[in-house]
Amino acid sequence: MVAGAVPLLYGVAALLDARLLMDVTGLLSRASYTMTPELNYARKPLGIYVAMFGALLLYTIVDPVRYRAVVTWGALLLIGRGVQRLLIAGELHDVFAIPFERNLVHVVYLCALGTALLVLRPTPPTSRT
Amino acid sequence: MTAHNILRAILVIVAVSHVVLGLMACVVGPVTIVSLVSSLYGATVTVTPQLHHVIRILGAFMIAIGIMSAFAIRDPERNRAIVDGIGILQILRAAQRVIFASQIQEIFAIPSGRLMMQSGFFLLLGLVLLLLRPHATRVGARA
Repeated sequence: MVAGAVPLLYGVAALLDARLLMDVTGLLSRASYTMTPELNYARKPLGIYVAMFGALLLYTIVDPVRYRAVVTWGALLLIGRGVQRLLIAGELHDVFAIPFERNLVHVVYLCALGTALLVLRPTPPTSRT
Repeated sequence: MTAHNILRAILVIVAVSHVVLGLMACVVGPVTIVSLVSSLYGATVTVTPQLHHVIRILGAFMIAIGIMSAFAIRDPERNRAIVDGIGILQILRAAQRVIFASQIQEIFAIPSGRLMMQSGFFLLLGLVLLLLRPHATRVGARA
């Protein structure tokens, strides 16, 4: 539920209001940046994708066995985002002034959440003949 | 061609386009992004380091949606929620382009005809996906 609800809320915030997005990223990542017109537009498609990803992940609660593929790829995306943040930690610090230790918290959170989903996902039903 | 095959063909388009564009967004540099955006969308853009980072995040999510679409190609009935989600996603993208059309034209200098064509394409894609999605009762009977 956490894995789905957070992207859904974050995506909706990004889609609806630039000020809200800046407040949320400031609070979560201590990121500092100038909202240029291009960034202000880019937040909208990004918000749609992030929100839809969250909604799909949240929907798997209904039937985790049936939507195992969504759980698997959702988990891999979370881990991928964690690794991405680790690899570009220097860039995140230079461009958005995100402190290294705060970025590391995000890396650990994303990787732990993704790994937990992968480990806890239901096993596919075995076919009985 | 049956409705089922049309649905799968559209899901193939969605999967391939999202994975390819998503990978490009994650991997290529600002210069290539500028030329890609210009040739694909007719847009003029200055890729600042901050925008470049946002494009990479967008790319990661596009890859995930593309791969989920690939699962739906294999079994649309089982993955009906994915078909619904991608259909709604396409309609939202079209709506967002129409609602913010003047802002898009002002910032990215996209000709209005091309912008409307893109919006129409996404809207059509979304509507067809939702219209051709497997019927709930058929899915229920199969489960």
